[in-house]
Amino acid sequence: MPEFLSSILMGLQVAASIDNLFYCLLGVTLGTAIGVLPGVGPIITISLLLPLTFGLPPTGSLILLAGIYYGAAYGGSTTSILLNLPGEASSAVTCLDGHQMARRGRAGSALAIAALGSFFAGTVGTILIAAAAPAMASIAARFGSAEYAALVFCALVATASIAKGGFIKGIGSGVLGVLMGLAGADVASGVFRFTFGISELRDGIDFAVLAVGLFAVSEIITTIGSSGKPEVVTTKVGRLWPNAEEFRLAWPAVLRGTALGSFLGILPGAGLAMSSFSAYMVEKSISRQPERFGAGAVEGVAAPEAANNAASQTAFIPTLMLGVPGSPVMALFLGALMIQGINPGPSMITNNPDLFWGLVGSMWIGNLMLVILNLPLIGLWVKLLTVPYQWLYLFVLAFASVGVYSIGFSSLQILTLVIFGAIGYVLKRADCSLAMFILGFVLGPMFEENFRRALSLSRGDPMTFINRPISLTFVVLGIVILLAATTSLVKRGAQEATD
Amino acid sequence: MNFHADHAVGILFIAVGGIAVYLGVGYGFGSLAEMGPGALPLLLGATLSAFGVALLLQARLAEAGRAAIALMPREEIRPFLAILAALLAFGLLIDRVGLIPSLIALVAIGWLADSRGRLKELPFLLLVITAIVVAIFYFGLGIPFHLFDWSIARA
Repeated sequence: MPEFLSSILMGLQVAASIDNLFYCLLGVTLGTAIGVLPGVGPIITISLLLPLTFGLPPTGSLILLAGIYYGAAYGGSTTSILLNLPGEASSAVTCLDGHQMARRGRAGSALAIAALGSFFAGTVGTILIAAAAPAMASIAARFGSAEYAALVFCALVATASIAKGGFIKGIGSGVLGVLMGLAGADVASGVFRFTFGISELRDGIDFAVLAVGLFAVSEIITTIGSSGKPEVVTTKVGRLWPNAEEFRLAWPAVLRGTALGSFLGILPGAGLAMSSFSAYMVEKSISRQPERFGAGAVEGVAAPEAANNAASQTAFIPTLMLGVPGSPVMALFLGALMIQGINPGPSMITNNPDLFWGLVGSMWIGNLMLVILNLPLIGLWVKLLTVPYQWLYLFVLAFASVGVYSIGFSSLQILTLVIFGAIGYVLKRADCSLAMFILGFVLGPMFEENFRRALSLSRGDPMTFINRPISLTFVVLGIVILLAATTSLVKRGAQEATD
Repeated sequence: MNFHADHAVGILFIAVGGIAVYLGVGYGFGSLAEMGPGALPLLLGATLSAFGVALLLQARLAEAGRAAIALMPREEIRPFLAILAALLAFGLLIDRVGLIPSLIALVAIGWLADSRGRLKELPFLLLVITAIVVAIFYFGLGIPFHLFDWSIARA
């Protein structure tokens, strides 16, 4: 038996304990619910729950948070198909053909294809994580300080180059996040930085408070300002099982979507929305009848749904094994690990095999639960949409404040929450990437530590970043992206000036 | 020149970058081989300020062409103020009067954020949200909050 199969079995055992099954079920149920509700996404929900994970066992808390994350990717597809309302950005593409299928009376079939395709993709993603783990760990074991510093630099630049709002705002938000991440005691010298004499800030800015303020508070403000009442259209679900013709069209699309999504999920900054969108474009361009797309093409549901679920799984690979998250949700995840006192990275698999493989095992069990939860209970989820946002935001607000206060029983936490709520709002308004900010915040301390250590090991010679092949690769890649991003910026600026 | 969102962010970048540089000098740069606690604040602060300046220049160039993004559209002023006020009220009250009165203040002020809220729903929301939150945190998770606390002397 290959080693990773025995590891998966071990993980399934951990995940199948009563406690962990409960956390998993709670996670996927919550995830599906918030995936259905527009205006409350996985980022907000995970931020809100971060303060509560202090008290949970590490494995349980990660299983819970992971369940929310992939559960939401699942739930988003339900409302896209039935109501043409994407609960998540990643399921916006599913609206195009899924809702058309629903209007032609094939809603049940579309839902089943989405659910089964997602389950298949989720399973493949889980196997990929398990298979990649030993290889990634052995690569990562060769990483020294210079390599880590170069990797963080490259990841931040790459993510900024595709951030919404443009490169300057993206990288600026990232640097802002890094600076905020440096607040507190300096590890090397013990000097308190950016504390302004406030003793509560000596441990740094609390990650959970920052995340809630940045994402939840700012989101509530903008959603209230813009929300009209969502129109609730009830559609008949119809027969749940796809017919032979639909099956024949769906399965190759699921395979292609899974492959594409698995790959894009690993890349920093790509994210779920990008993988489902690319999968849709691929299907449309290779189809012999592209005109069917937008009018209820089965492939247009199958491929994007498979892609975003595959990506939601493989995104864990760089996060857990290198400690470098590719998306804001993954950054939150990393934060949750650190709250538990666990350092992500190659050593995590060897030091905490229960945690790592238990999480992987729970993902497969969770995906299975989702199929069971989603298909028969669809009527129930659709009912959730009738909860008005006016009630929802007040609950989120109350939950957020009590959760944040409970971290340190200090009202200073609430003040921090207000400040980051306001900063988050301004950044969001100006189209700056909050994702970059949170990535910078999480990666900042790691960058500083490795950057300083690399230079001190080389006795101050900056060539250390260039003399080592892995580090050189990241540095060159980062600089190429940086140059590409700035030249296109200058070109655009010049064009605007002459217009 | 109208003040819009890009200007606000540009100024935010310059200000935070400036503070980081100023404080970084105080913390000490050290040398390349032995970087002090001020090294990264200095380098990154300077970079951030530069991005801020670039953003202001870009906003100036764009002024003629594109429509600028307003810093705060009129329909968001009310939610912005009400939500932050609700949080502040909660923060000020929680140490003094206990969990339940603070939650009531939070929900009541937060309710003002949405102009479409109906007054007759408010008592219902106050009751239900307070009950759910107390149930989750106090009873469910067993976090030792003071539900009511009128002893203002407690710090």
